[in-house]
Amino acid sequence: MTPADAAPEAQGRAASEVAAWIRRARAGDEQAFGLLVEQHERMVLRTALRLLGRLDQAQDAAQDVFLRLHKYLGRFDESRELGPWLYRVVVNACHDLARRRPPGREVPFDELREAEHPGLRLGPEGIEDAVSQAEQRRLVDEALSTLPAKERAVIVLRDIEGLATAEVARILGTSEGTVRSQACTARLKIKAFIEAGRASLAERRTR
Amino acid sequence: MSCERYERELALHVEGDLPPRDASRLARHLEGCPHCRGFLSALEVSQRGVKALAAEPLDDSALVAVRAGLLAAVRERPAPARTTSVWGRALAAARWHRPLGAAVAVVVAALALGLFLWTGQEGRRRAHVEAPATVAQGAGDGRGTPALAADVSTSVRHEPGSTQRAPADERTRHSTARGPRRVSGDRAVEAEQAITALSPEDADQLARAIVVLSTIRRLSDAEKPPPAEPTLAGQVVLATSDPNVVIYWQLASNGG
Repeated sequence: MTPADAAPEAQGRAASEVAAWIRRARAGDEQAFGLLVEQHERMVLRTALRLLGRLDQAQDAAQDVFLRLHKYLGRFDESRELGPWLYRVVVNACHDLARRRPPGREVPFDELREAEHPGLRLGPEGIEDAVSQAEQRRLVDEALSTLPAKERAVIVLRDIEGLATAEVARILGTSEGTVRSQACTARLKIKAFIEAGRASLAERRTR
Repeated sequence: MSCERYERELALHVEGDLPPRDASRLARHLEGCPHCRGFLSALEVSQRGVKALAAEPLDDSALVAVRAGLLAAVRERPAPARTTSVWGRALAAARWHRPLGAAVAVVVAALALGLFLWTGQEGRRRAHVEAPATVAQGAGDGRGTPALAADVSTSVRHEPGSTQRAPADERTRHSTARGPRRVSGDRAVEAEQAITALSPEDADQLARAIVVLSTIRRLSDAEKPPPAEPTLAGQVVLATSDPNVVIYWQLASNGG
């Protein structure tokens, strides 16, 4: 993970300092464990929120992540970076939570094509002006929620968290080629969803 | 001309994921294809929306809820890497509440002031009242002998230096007697001034000490019956950022 790609919280702390906290926490120092939590809680909760889309579930997932950290501290090699390990645990915890909740609607890609809204193909900047920021924000959230779990994880880690493709591949236990393919498909879906949503909003306004 | 095959390349190119060789070929195509340029612009707009999520701040209250739930869960579960030390638990709890430190410090300072005033008026009734606090200035001849109250006592001692002591401090060094004492009006004022002059960091430290002592007291009360006589159960010495101010907290379980 390059410095530019690292989570903001991780940038402020030297790896040696975090490793020292891990050693102390493993030896039973709860204050050191508290520091580890404090250092990574924003990254964990933010990622969980983007993966699950609901704050209450994201908080459950974040607690689960730190409980797993607490449980496995004794086996954690402090020479490894904690950030990527936590990202992996966040993805797994959110996957477990998502399996236990009712499935959301995954919109087939064909439904999202621009052909669904002929005659409303405004230029991207023109549409952007027409749709308020709040609506844009909602559309992005909804677009993310329609993605399959693996594509969503790739978008959250690569495009929102800003991790490198190779790092995302390591976290998700897959190849860089697969990450690129999933990112490509997901970006096209998001674009199509947002454009369809904007067109729909613009259509309602012109009536 | 159908450019659909370029759409996937554009979706990689928009985030710099396209290999350089393919990126050069795509750039040449974009020069002569308005459709793909428009497609790329639309992709850039949607990606801006996605990436804007990274800049959205998280509410601190959401994190506090996570910490609270986590702390409760960690306490409930047995873990090999976890200390069972009461001090460890209390300090960790205090540490996790650091974002609220300023607010807690204000409350603590207000409580401390209230207790000072109360003890100044009701010192003789302390032994019969639940959880009283006494503040005395001048803790005797060393850190190990601060004043002891029936339940919780706080001692604020000015230490201008081991070899030099101001006359005003000499005036208050006689207070070595153990047991409940009434705080004189002058001392209460001086102690009040010392507490209110604490920096936010020191006030935060004081707040943490109270968390520690409260935890010890709660656990001590739960684990054993109260003794007939006051018994020392804990002591905290706070070295503040002001070298002239040292704060002692002592805890004794109260049999009354």
